[in-house]
Parts: sequence; C-alpha cells; structure tokens
Amino acid sequence: MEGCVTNDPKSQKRLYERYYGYALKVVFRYIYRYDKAVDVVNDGFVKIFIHFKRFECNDRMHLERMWMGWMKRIMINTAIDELRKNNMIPEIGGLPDNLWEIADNSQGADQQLLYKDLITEVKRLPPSYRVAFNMYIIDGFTHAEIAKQLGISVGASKSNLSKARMHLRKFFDKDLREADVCI
Amino acid sequence: MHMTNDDMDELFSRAADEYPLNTDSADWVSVMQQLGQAGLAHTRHKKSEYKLLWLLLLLPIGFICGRMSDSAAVNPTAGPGDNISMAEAVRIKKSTPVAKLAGPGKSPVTVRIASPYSTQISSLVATRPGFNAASRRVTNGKPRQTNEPQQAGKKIVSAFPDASQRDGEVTAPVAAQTSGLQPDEMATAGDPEQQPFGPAIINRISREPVAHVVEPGFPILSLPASSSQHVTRMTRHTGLYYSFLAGPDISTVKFQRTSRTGYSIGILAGYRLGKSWSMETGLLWDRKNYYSSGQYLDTTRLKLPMHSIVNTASGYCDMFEIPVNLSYEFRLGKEHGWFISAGLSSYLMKNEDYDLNYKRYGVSYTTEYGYRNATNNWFSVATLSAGYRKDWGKHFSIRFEPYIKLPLRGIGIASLPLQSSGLTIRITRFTH
Repeated sequence: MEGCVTNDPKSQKRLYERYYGYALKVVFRYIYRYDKAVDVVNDGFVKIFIHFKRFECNDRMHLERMWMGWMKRIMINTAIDELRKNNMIPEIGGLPDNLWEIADNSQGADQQLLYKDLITEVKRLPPSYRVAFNMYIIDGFTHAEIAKQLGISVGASKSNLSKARMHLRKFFDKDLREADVCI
Repeated sequence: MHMTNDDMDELFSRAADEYPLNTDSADWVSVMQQLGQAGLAHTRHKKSEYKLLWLLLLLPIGFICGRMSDSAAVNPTAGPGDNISMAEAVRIKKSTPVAKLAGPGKSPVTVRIASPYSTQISSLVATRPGFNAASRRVTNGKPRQTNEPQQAGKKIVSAFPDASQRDGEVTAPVAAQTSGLQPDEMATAGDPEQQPFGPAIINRISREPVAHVVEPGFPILSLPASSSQHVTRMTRHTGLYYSFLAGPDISTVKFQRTSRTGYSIGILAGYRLGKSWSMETGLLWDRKNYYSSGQYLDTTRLKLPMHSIVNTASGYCDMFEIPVNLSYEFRLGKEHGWFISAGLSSYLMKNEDYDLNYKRYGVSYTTEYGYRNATNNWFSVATLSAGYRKDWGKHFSIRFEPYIKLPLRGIGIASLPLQSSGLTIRITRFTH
C-alpha cells in the first residue's frame, strides 16, 4: 500500500496481480464480453494507481476489506462508464466455455455449474437491467445511488430492478424445476 | 419450488462471489504502459538513486577529526615572522633537539641546536609575565650564567657565544641563521674561534642521549632518549581510526547456485588496543541477492495461501549491517602487514523481496512478496576475514579484505540460512 502511494512499480504490480481475479469477477458481471471486461479491469487499475492517495483508512484492522470496497466501487464505475459509452446497447453472442474454470470433483462442480449458469443469466439481461440488478442485489447500492450513477430517476431504477427479477425468475421456473439443488 | 425474492437474492450473491471464472488474463505490461502514458513518475525509483548519498556526509567527519589532530602538529610552512601559539612553541621546541654537552672539565651545558623558530620562540617566552630569564653564554669554553632582568620582546636566550643582542632588536644567533643545516654542519657555522667545541664534539652530541634543563619561565623541553636530531615519524598508528569501505558481495543459501552480485558499502570506526589488536564497529548498507529451493524457507510469516508448497524462491534484501569485529595484525614491515579479523554482525532488514514459485492443490503459481522493516537479526551472523594492509601516506592506509559471513540463525522474515562472501576495499584514516 505504501509502495503504491509512492508509485513503486513493484508494489503496484503485486497489488494488481493479487486483486486482479477479484476485480475481473466484479466487472464480468457488468460487461458481457470477456476481453472487454479485461480492458475495463485494466483501466480501473490505472485509475486506482493514479488516485491511490485518495484512499484513506484509519482502521488498520479492516484495511483489506475497506480497500476491496474502494477498489470494487472504482471497477463498477469504470464498467458503467464503458456501458454508457456504448449507450447501453445489448451485446449478442454466446460465451465460450474456456472462460470458465470448473473444479474437478463432482460435488463442487455441480455447485459451480449452477453459479456459472446464474451469472450467465445475469449477463444476458439488457444492460440497464443488468446494472440495476448487480448494483442493488449483489453490490449493495441504493436506488438513489444507482439513479445518480446512471443519470436516471429512482423510479426508473426500481423499475429496471423489477424487470430484471422477472427475467431471472423465468429462468428459475424453467430450469430449477428439474435441478437437484439445495439452497 | 417457489423461490422468494430474498432466497433468489441470496443465491445470486453467493454465485457472484464463487462463480468459476478464468482469471489468468492479467496483463501488467499493459497497465504499466498506460501508467507511463498517464505520466505517473516512479518517485521511489528516483529516491532509491539518492538514498545512499547521505553516507557521503559522514566522510568529512574523518577529515575534520584529522584536521583537529593536525592543528597541534608542527607546521613546516610557518615562517619566522608568523605568529605561533605557546602550544605550538612547545611543540616546535620539542622538535628542536637539546643536547647535553660535556666538554673537558666543564660542567654540563645545555645547547640548543637552533631552528628558524628560535627567535620567535624566545620572544614569545619573554613576553610571559614575571619572566626573568637566565641566559647561558659560552665563552672560551666556560659557561657563564648571567641573570639579567629582561624586557619583553627582547631575545633572551642563546647558547651560542656569537649571539648578539641589541636593545629593541631581536637578533637570531648565527646558528639560527643557518637553519636547515644538520647539527654537525651547524658546528662549522659562524666564527670558529667563538666556538668552544669542535666538530668532533658536535658529532658526539648528535648521538648522545639528551637531557633537559628547566629554566625559570621556560617551557619544559623534553625529548625521548632515543630521538636523534631528525624529527622522527611515528612508525605505528595508535588510537582511533575511521574507515570507508565498499565491495561486492555474493550470497547463497546452503551453497546452492548463486544469484546476482550484491554489494556492501559503509563506514567503520575503530580503536587500536595495542601493538597488534584493534576493535571496531560501524554501519554498512548491504544489498544481498539470493536463490533457494523452497525447503529452506520458513513460510510461517509469509502471506501465502493455505496448503501452499514453495518450489523455489529468489530475490534480494537491503539491510543495515552493524558489525563488531576484533582484528589482529601481523606486521611485515613499517608500512604493511597481514591481518585476521573475526566478529559478529547484526542485520536490520529494510527491504525483503521474495519471488516465489509455489504449488497449491497441484496448480503452480508465481507470486512476489515484499516486506519493509520486517525483521532485525541481532548478532546473527559470524564474520571471518583476512587480508593485507598497506599504509598510504602518513595517516592513511588501504586494506584488501576477503571475508565470509556465516549465519548463526535464520535471516529475514523467511528465516533463510543466508551466507555471504566477498571482498571489501577499505581506506582508513588514523588520528595518530
């Protein structure tokens, strides 16, 4: 952390490699294409290193948690900026299988396949619904924050979330009826 | 199965944390290029270029201390007209031999073989309050003592019969005017008829041990019995000394393959305990590069994920080293000798860098960890060295010292058994 404040390349590289996976998982929920998500993550890290001095944490006990929260926020903002650049136009096309890393053992594999399907369904949502669902349900933003970020009204944010839930519920009703899943 | 919104939200939250995404696409080079384009200066790199410069501030200390010791020594460039202090007068007098002359049937006479400074020494002495000088004049072989109240500023004492005094003037004796001559040469200076003793006696004077005569008001003159008319130089350095050293360093772990060459640079201060023994300590800045297989690393304090097994580790460490050494010298001659040295060193780690290759659940990973000010290893390294020393001028010497440093305990946060060998070249400045 101290090295990143002084722009030490070694410290920056170490930080990047350590948290790259986490940042990519956050961004990939917002950005449909994998290669685009990688670019957004790299842009996000550049922003982080440029403005690193703005990160302040007085609570050493929870330093990593606070740092990850700050980093996650920057990544989400960068992803949303990318979506807005494309005017929230939905992207089409499938996702190749090599994007996923499934565990070998059968028990973990089932669970991970489920999670993979769920996230794939989230990614298939229209961008505005996808953003609302990710920001509210998974990342814990309020509707006011979502509205401010997207430049929409609070009502529009709530509406987008509701529609996202409807889409996803159809998936559950269609697929989970036959699945053997314990929640 | 009907899922409530809350159930669905919880399921998606869990999925977001644990969904299996391939994250091997990290591209640090691309990020670094973007940072470079953004004009992000690597200030730490610049700082690292200058972080050793402060050591140069310590170099003048040795020169200042030497200058302080030199200020009390004879100043050969001072001319007769220059003002000199009493202390300098005493020292100059010390360098001017005083011989005890025993002529046939004569009581001993103190003869000062004059130097160019006699005039000002005498006048300086004469200005001391309460001074009532006695002069000795040798005439026709008989010493004659006269007690004459002297006025300040007048030349008082001369042991040579042809010295003359005039009121208000300071006249140097003939011998003083022939400064620069050796004593046996001085014997032939001046009017031979005035001299009660011939060259043969003068020559004997130069070889006889000297005594000193204390005259009232005069500074005490004394010379060691073994001294000759020549100003003798100390043939052996004593007391405090200061050294600046630097040299390459190669470090290994359990004699595995070596990594890049490191270095060692710093200052030492020492004290000669006797003819051959000396004790020293100091402050060094070391850079040690290393390589090791994972079996020699203690990963307890490393931030590795659980169940990781380290295959290899490499990296470097920067540290302050505080050595405490005892040295013994075998002198081969006046100006050179061999020595051996042994001691203990403490490593105060400033930076530790570890490039680790490790396996976890059958998958290999490469990662890099860095630690700052993480460990202090007090008296954890034994140092052995031997080498050659050569004097360089009056106060300096140069020393070539191959060494080996053996760990008594694990070094650094990973407790590596790091051993080092190298060569230091040391320039030492003696205060005496």
